[in-house]
Amino acid sequence: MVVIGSGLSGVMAALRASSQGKKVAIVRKGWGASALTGGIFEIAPTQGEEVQFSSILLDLKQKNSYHPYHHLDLEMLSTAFELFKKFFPLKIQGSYTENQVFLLDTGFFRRAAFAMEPQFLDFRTIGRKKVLTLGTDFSWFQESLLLPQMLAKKLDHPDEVRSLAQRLKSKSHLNQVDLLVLPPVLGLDFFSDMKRELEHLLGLPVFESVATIPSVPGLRFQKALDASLRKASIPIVQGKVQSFDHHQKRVTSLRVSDELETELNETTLEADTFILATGKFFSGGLRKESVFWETVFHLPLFFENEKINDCPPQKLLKKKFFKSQPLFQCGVKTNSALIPLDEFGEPCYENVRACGTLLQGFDPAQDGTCFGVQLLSGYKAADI
Amino acid sequence: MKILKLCYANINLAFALVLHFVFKKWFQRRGLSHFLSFYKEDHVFSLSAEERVTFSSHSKCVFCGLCVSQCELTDAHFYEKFLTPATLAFSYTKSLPEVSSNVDFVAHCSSCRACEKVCPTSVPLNRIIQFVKAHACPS
Repeated sequence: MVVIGSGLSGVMAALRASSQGKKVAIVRKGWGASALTGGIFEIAPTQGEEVQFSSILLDLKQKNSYHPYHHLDLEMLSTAFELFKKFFPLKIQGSYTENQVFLLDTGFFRRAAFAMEPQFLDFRTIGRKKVLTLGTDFSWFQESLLLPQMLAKKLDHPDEVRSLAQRLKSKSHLNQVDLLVLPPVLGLDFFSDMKRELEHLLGLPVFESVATIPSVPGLRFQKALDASLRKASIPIVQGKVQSFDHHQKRVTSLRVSDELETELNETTLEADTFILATGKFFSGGLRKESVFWETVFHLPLFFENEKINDCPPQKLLKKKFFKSQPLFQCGVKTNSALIPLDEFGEPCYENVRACGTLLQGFDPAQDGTCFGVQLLSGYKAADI
Repeated sequence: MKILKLCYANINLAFALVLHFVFKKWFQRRGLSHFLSFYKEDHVFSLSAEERVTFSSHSKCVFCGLCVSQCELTDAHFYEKFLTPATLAFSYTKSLPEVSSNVDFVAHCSSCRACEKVCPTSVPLNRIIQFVKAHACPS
């Protein structure tokens, strides 16, 4: 089996297949949008009153009849997540049944089911505690920096954390505060140690807010994904899929080579099944040049079951910037076995399965179901 | 009067044309080379035909900062300057003279290509580094 893409859904598919004893390899050209995650993971959107996930998801399925959840079985979520946790080195906490409230580094709140360890601070449980939150302009830090990643890299050393603690003590009145929330900058590789060190030095609990782009938790997450692939001893082939061979409706092999120097180290990968987990526009799964196209197998793209490959992009964009844009909901149409379909409802290639954010009908950044779809579709795509 | 003016203009043009062909022999493209030598300090230079084709791909960077975690230089030379692949690539969305601001980075870079391997928009970082080395480093 060959998995194309090493984001969350690709890794989930690879882990599932290798746990079934299959021989798996991952092809990737680089990191994608999984490396930009803010540190929280959403299964279902909720607003206002507490509602259980099952009823919300029924509602969501009724409202959006193209959503990938129609093909997925939500009861598998805990099984999939347990398998994922077995290989994933970082702690992800949360619940399968309800959303918690987390603070974004822009000052807004966002609801999500799971969060990574430094972000796991549920604001509903705080009560009357006094919280000090520091902003992302880094004026509390001695110098202004271009990227939070640089600061995070700097704070991987305990000496730097010590001087940071001194600076925080001198600048703000920490004795009046019960809780400190920093932007997500506390180290890239050793962040839980650095967090503990800072908590010890300041004498109060320290948390990180949820990142927007550019994102340090995303880097940690992607590095941990790579580590889980190493732990399951799944090989990674670095390169871009240049072309593929197919015999009637079965893909037989992929030709992978370095993206920039195409002549160098070209490899051919043969497999029984190919899993497409390339993501949407940022990750490079979809491209807009003169037309929209899917970059690996040139599959047709759909928005609400209408083919949009030749559609002008202004038709897929709304004027209201923060509204959910149809452009980001377009993707590959699949049947219930996640095999991509063409406009007549016939399978394009019988041994190709699509999973993750590539699927049509949901906007991974907006509609609050991204983590659930990625995990479940990755699990299901490899489950043959 | 009108005819006289026309004649004068035509004679002037003919004279300039003759001068142009005569002087071209001895003072070939004096204007351009003079201009380039004048702005050499500001790192304005002419691109070759090959470079013109690839130059647009240099500005693909979206400043997501994923390469920062991969670069060893970011660790080693942090205190001196903000030397990261991201700042290098991002300076190509600005003008050509910005090339000079990257000399420090390029001088330390070992071309390990770790940054290129994680780039989501596939910026040709190694090619950029070779480009800066060729043009901006004092030789």
